Parts: sequence; structure tokens; C-alpha cells
Amino acid sequence: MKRAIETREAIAVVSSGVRLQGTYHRPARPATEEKRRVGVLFPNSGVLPRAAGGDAAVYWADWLAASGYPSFRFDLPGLGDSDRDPAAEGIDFQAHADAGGYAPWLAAIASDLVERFNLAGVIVVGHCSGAVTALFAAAATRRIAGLILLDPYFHVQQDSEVQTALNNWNKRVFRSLDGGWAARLKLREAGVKVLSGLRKIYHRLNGNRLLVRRKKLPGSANLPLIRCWNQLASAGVPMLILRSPSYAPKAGGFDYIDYLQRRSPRGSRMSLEPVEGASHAFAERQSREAVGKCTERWLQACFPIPKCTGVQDSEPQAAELANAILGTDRNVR
Amino acid sequence: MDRQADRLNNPVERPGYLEFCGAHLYSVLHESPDPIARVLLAGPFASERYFSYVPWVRWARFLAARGLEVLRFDYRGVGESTGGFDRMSFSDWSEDVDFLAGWLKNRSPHLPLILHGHELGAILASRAFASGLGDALLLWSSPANANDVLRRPLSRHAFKNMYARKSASDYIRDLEANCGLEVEGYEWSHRLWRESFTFQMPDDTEAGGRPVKVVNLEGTPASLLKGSAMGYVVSHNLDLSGLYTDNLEWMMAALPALQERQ
Repeated sequence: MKRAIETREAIAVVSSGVRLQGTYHRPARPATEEKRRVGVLFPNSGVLPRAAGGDAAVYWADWLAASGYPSFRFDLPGLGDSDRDPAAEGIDFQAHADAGGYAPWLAAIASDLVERFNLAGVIVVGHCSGAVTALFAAAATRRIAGLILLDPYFHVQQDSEVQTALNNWNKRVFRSLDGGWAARLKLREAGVKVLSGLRKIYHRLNGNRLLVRRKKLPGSANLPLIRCWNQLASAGVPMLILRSPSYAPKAGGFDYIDYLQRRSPRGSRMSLEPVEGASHAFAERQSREAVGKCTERWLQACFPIPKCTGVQDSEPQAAELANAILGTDRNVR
Repeated sequence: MDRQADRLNNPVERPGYLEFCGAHLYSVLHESPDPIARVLLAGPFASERYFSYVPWVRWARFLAARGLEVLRFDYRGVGESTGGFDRMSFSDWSEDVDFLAGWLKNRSPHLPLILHGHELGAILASRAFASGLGDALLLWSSPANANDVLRRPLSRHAFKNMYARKSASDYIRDLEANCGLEVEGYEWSHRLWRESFTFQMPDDTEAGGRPVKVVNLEGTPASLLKGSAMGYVVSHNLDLSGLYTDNLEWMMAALPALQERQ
């Protein structure tokens, strides 16, 4: 059994005695000794193994490695092939991720890779809860030089009391309807009509409430995460957000990205690109390609690969491109 | 049961690649210092891999910590393995199982080899077993044929793309009409679809006195290994210690006879 093949290598990082398993996608062009390049690191998308849904992360890592960026995909503790058993330790994945519980591990992986592969830094591509972990980790280590966030979210998962009460009532009604066979069908239809009417009223009222208060963060906002965002934005850490239509703000919903963009300090380097036609998984061929292209373009603008000695440095051009993409002037900072 | 201890008691896990038919099969060997048997784990279909991955890894660690050396892997074109999924079919993945069963057997021919298949892997392991590979066979949630395996992700695909106003039957018509179809990020070829009808469990698994155990996971906590009907992972924190223990007991009970046969 070979640990490495021509394009990939099975690698591991050991942090605090925990073995974290990953895959290294070798870059197509060899590194120059005098100028270091950045690497790209993909943590898990939610609880999925490091290949991600539809093996999308494998596709992106292959793509970026072919463009010259060393790329890495890693399983965080308790996920994929890595050590630990969160179930045995009583860890709830969602709550742990939302609280930044996986960030120290991701920061440790980033530091290890920078040292081991002599990188200028690491760009983390985080998807969904992976994006949350990426934000927390980037705030904790300078080794993470930039972020690409796919469908990040900025709220903590909590049930609205009204929504829960409505759902419980819904269940009670259906339980009672299921009692008698004869009247079941008619009663069910009537029940559905009543409930859908109530839901419409609830959502309309809820929407108006949020519209009125849209300049304030909702009660479910993940404030520590938003602080991390502000810290990174203030430091001018480049961030690219890719958003699927399913994560675009709904009528009456709170648009966290818009809120954060408006409050970002001058000099922050954040850009948002919608990925049309993508599902939240970004697993379909079309959306995989779109993400691959956006990511490569953004990386080449913000973190161009240093040319070998004797080749004219493309940094001035890259800086112009970066300004065009990010819509900011890099010299302001 | 201390599941964390399974990993600590079995520190040797060797991930790597095995070259086969121009591709590289990503495999993880869970070594045991002094193994009493070897087990090849053949996992589910590509779209279902994500739902059962963590419990599958835990099962491998559970066995390795108890003296059974385990090999688990990704089929060609899936997950960490190389190769194009769109060029693969069930017969290719069947060759993967045969190849890895042979590789594992060759590590120490005197030790019994147990084939264990889950979902699609159950069909593949059964076919390998019927061809004479392996000394015992364990099956979880074995479908009647490969088409049963494809129906579930296809239903999810139709559900997730409701806005396209196409039912699962419409997609089936497309597949029948020699068109490919992308389902959950995987390109299904017409060949894959056609082969699924004829690729089935062997009519009469030629056990020849070799032990066989079939486990139906429906109605048990392990049924969540296949995820929710809408495609969400629900198996991350599943406690399957009962299932693991029962199946290990069956293996241990079968071992003396297997060792005698060697």
C-alpha cells in the first residue's frame, strides 16, 4: 500500500495526541526556494468526510493544485478518518461547531502545514459549519492568511419559542385527527388549511418585526463569531463569500452578510459572489465548476503564485486585479 | 462500552493507495498486532457513503481493537479513490472487492478472511463470496439488486429538485433514453442504470459450509446509517454498540470452525 501517488498523498497531523487525517494534493508547479506560496486548506463540510458531498472538495483541491496551489483536505476530530469519538464524549456537533470548538484543531492543522510545507500561509475554504470554524480559527492564528466561505451562517441554532409552540400544536392536532378513521381525511384537510393559515400569519408578522428592526442583530446571532469577523475585517484579512440561492436572505429574514458588509471598517477586504443555480451542497457539476473558477480567480488576485527567478513579478498587476475584485484600495490600510 | 478506547487500543491505522486497473483505491488498514482473522469491509453506494462513514470507521476500530485486522476502502471514482465515477459501473466495483479480498488474503493466507458488505457492498461481497473468496460472509441491509440501491438517491434527487417539476419516473425515463443523469454530484451513466437491473445478489450463494449471516437493519437504530429521506446525515452520534457486539459475537463463534478449515 502506497502512502503517496503522483498527485496525492495521505498525510496526518498529530495535535495534542490526536491524529487528524488528511489528503495533500500536490501542486502542478514546483515551489521556488526563495518565494513561498500559500496553501489551501479544506476542513469538513458539516459532519461529512473530507471529500464533502458529491466529492466536491476533492474536485476543488485537484483544481487548485493544478493551478499551482498546494491543497489539503482534513478531517477534524471525530469526523472522517480522524481520531476521537464525539458521541462517546457527549459532544453535540452543531453546538460545538457554533461555539468555535473545532477552531483550535483547525488552527493547529494550519500551523503544522505552514511549517511542514514551508508555506507563506494557509487559505481556509470552509463550507457551512466549516465556514464558522474557519472564522474562529482565523481569528486565533495569523497562519491563516485568508478565507473562502461557502454559505456561512452567523446565527446559533435555536428554536423560536413561537415556532416550537406552533409545531407542538400542529402535532397535537394531527394526533387527535388520527384517532378516528371515518373522519380522518376530511379533518386532516381542514386541519392543514387552518395550520397553513396560521403559519402564513405568523411568518408575515415575524417578517414585519424583523424589517422594523433590521439594523439590529437578531437574538439568535452568534456574537462571538461576529466579533471574530470584525477582528478579521479590521485586520484586512481577505475574505471571499460564495453564496448559494438557498442561503440568500429571504423576505423578512435578517441579512447577516449585508449587515457585516455595511459595518466593516475601511480597508476590509471582503467580497461576495452569488453562485447561481447552486444548492447548499455545491455538489452539482455546474456549481462545482463555478466555485472552482471563483476561487482560483480570487486566489490569483489576492495571493498570486510567486514566479521563478528571472520571470517578471506579476504583483503589481495582481494588486490591481485584487482591488477590482475586492472593490477596495489595498493601500488604505 | 468505551469507544474511545477502541482507537487507543489500536493505534495502527494505515491509510494509503492500492493501484488497480489504472486507478488508485484509497484504503485504510486497521492493523492488529496479532490478528486472529481479517475482515474486508465493502461499504455502501457513493451517495450513501457520507451517511454511514463515521459508524463504519468506528466498526473497523471496534473489530481491530479485538484482534481482527480490517481493511476498508473507497470504490473507484468515489471519495478518496481516483478514477472517474461516470466511467464506472457495478461490475467495476465488484472487481475492486475481488482485488482487495485477494490482497488482504495474501497478507497472511493462513488466517480466515471474513467478507462484510453493507447495502451495495452486500451485493458485491456476496458475489465475491459466491466465486469462492472469503471464509465467512456478513451482510447488512442487503438489497435484492443494484437498482434498489439507486432508487433511494434518485428519490432524494427528485425531491430536492421539486422546482424542476419532474418526478422520479421522469428521471428514470431520461436514464432509459440513453441520457446520463447527475444525482447528488455523481454522474450516473446509462450503463450504470441498465446494469443495475441485472446486477443482483447471487441466486444461491454457494456457501459450501462457510458461515453466512444476514442482518436486516430496518427498524433498528442502525437503519439511520442510510441518512434521512431528505439527504441529511443522522448517523453522526449513533450508538451502535449493540449491533457491533452481536456481530462480533457471531464472528468469534464462527472462528474456530474457520481456523480448522485453514
